[in-house]
Amino acid sequence: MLFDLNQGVAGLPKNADFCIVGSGPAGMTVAIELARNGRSVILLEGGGVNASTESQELYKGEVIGDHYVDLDIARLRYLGGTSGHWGGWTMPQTELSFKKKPGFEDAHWPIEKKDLDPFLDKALSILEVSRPNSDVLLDREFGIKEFSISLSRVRFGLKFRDELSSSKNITCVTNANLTGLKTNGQHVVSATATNFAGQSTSIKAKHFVLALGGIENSRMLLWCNHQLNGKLVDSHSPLGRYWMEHPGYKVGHALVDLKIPKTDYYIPHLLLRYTEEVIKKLSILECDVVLEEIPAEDTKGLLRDLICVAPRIGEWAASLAGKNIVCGVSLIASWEQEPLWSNHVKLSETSRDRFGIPRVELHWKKTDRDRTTLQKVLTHFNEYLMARNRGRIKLEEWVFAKDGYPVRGDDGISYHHMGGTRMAQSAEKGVVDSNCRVFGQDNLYIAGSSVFPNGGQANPTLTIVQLSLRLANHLRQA
Amino acid sequence: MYSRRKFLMGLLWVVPFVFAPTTFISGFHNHPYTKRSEKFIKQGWVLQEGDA
Repeated sequence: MLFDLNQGVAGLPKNADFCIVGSGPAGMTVAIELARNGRSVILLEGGGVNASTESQELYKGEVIGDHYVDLDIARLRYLGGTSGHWGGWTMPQTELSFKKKPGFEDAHWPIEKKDLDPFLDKALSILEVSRPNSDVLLDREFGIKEFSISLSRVRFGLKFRDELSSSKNITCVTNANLTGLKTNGQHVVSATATNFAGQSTSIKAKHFVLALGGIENSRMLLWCNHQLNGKLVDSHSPLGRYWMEHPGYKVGHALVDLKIPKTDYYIPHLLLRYTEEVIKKLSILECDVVLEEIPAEDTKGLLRDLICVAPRIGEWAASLAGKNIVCGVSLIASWEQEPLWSNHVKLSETSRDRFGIPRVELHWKKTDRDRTTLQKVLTHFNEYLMARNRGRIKLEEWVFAKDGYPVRGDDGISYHHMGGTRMAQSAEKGVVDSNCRVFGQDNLYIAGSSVFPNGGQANPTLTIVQLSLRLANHLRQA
Repeated sequence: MYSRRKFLMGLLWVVPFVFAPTTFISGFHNHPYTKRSEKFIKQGWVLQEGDA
């Protein structure tokens, strides 16, 4: 059943087995899975069935540190959440993501990849994609692999709207903004939902799941914890801390003698990443290099440029280009960010939203390790091209500068909001345990990428859905 | 300093049409960490000795 809280609170069921807050990929997956297994669910969505400015306005906030896009355009606040404009790139996390990595040993998953693997096929099915092809080793000595993705076109709001309407087990309440939680100390008793007219209602459930997104999970936990004088979350937990992105920049161009695969969803591009051995040898975090084919005219321009700068190699490249062996590409590098205490979600002390809740203040800054990773990634790729006579790269000046990144639109931003309520074995290291239960409460859970202890290399949505299925499986047994 | 091998490699670049494309793919398998020449950046291009 769909219920619009803006129409009033009368008639709304106020008790269920589960109260889930947020209807993006995480919350929707948990809700649907539980409902299909006969459990009663109240699914609270802060926005409406469609996007609205009054809902989107609640996502405004401030980013302190590096350049970022406005937070109210970086995510969507209506049925289906940010899946309403996601890019759809789907791939599982690597084995390496779940291992301890040099330099941040305490930021590894307390679960293993094999704990998520049983949920892979079902997650792929929800995203309506097949499993991406296995990596292809392009060069053993350089440890360079080609990887693949699957492209999902699923918008969770559109996909599940009919099921939400017809389901007897789910009451999906739109325009229901979470404004508070009540706990008896160890057990959440109720959630308060408020509509845009300011009318509130209280929802009781046996279990509560917050699935508000990679920033809002931290913000609302911080706010509710503040309201409850710190009785909600274990005081040792690094709540809001270790927030991460996948920095990714267009770093230049290249003329390469590499096969650039065509796809049915995007311009031809080649996706490369390094083997675990190379990542360890270079002491870098996970990363990828994307080569996007550029138009023939631009390739000619690059060739002319190279001939002027370095005639010998330029002529070689031109002769191969005449045979369609060499092509011009844009070079894009993305990498996993080091999880840092200093990168965090904070409640603003100066600005509040219409419900009186402090707006978000996101402190985010890249570090020397980010720059070193980028430089090592590109140096290694260049070594490969030169050693194998596969081409030459032309880098933008800033890449090997000491500091500074270009400020241009969303270059450098992947819209991957991770961390803040990270998963760990203890409250000292994280906010949730290996079952996504908040340390300090026995029936409060977090779903979504805010539980990621590290970013890994994969786009996060598939992992979010896998984790959500795993959480639903756990809750079914609760 | 140019080695004879580098010189031959240069020839392969200049006259690629003499050889099949696969030559370029499989012909130069020096170990990447043992055969290096000086790298430098010129107008953004990352080049090595002999390129210019």
